Amino acid sequence: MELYEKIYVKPAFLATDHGEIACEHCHGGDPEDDDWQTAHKGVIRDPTYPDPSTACGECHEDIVASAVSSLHFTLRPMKQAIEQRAGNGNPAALRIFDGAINRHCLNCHASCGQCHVSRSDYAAGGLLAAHRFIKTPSMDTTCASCHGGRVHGEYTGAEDDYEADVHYADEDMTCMDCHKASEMHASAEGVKTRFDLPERPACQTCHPDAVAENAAVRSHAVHQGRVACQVCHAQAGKSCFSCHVGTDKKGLPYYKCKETKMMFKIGLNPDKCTDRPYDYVVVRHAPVDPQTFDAYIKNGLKRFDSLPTWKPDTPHSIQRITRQSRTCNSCHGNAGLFLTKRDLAPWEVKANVGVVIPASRIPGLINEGAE
Amino acid sequence: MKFSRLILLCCALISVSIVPWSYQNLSEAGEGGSRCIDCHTNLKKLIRLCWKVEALKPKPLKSEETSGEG
Repeated sequence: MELYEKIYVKPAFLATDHGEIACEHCHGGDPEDDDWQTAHKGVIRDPTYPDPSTACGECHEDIVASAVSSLHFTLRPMKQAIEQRAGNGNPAALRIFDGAINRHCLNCHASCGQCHVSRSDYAAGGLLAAHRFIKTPSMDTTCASCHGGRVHGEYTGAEDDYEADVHYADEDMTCMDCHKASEMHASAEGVKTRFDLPERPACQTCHPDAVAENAAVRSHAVHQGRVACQVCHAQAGKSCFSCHVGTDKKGLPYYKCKETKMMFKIGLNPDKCTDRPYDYVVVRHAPVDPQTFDAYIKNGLKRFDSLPTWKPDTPHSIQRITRQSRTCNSCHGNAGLFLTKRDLAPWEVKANVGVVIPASRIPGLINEGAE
Repeated sequence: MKFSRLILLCCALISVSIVPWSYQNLSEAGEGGSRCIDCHTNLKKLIRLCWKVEALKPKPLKSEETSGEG
């Protein structure tokens, strides 16, 4: 986007509710000053971050109260995971990690404005619709600007050899059809991972028959409560390996991701709970390795093994019939689908003890003729 | 009859007072001398100004060392 496109305000915006508010009320600056350079002194580009209480909270108090601690606003689980791996015994080290997280990771956060008014900072900003406020953000412009590397590609079928998610291809569903405002704006206080958020989407909201006591589909009845929906219905998802961050000679932040590939792996569920009682879940590899932050603090992830590097995942590549669900034995006895020790690098074996499937728990071939 | 005339009169007075009030509100952002609006809603002016801005403040650079998918 050209700079002028990013900051052009359509006159029609002025006739909207938000357009009636004086510019300087949210953005600061001096609206009387004829000189653009001095007029912009003190201008706040995104008045909704880090504190949206004035710009948004004056009218949308309830939403702002929870949204400021939401997953998108804070990226809390990612920060917590890094801090957990760093160990919490050394405040000086944690401060260094916080600096690195802010510099490299948190530019993906989403403020109120970066969903409803402009593109994200990560996508280099720019007004979405000439400053009109968009109540339901666009999947392709807004969500994909941060989730374009993985989820958006899986969902829309951009990855070679994989079909688009059936919800997109056949039903034209967008992100917001499942991820409602109530989830986006929900507080994530005390939440360890996104799966802990009570407002998260659930397949059974639209597919109650699949989890009914007497499910009509036999494989639903057989696997119910033991196998996550995605184990049968997801195609591959994107896994990343060994992302390292640092600062180059010009002082610019960089990342180097060693490898990214589409994979499908089933692992053990490391966080069983009432909502997610499954034994088997789909897992993907997180980009972290023990040297991810070495440019900041050598061997700083003292408790690297306290979390798995293969994490439960919900690939957005759903199909009714997948390679592993075509027949019973497309999965049963198909050891390559399951995360085993052979899939791990030596440095991550200990971290994934709770996720790796021992040979004894890989379901064996069944006699389909007898079924 | 008198009562309904009184109501009509009140309505007329209220609407007459609301029009300038709402116009004033709109003009606060729009036409009340705000230089922000003068420039940001005028494409030609904005394009020329952006040339000046870009000459003074080049686009932020991205590290050439970045590699792989983010």
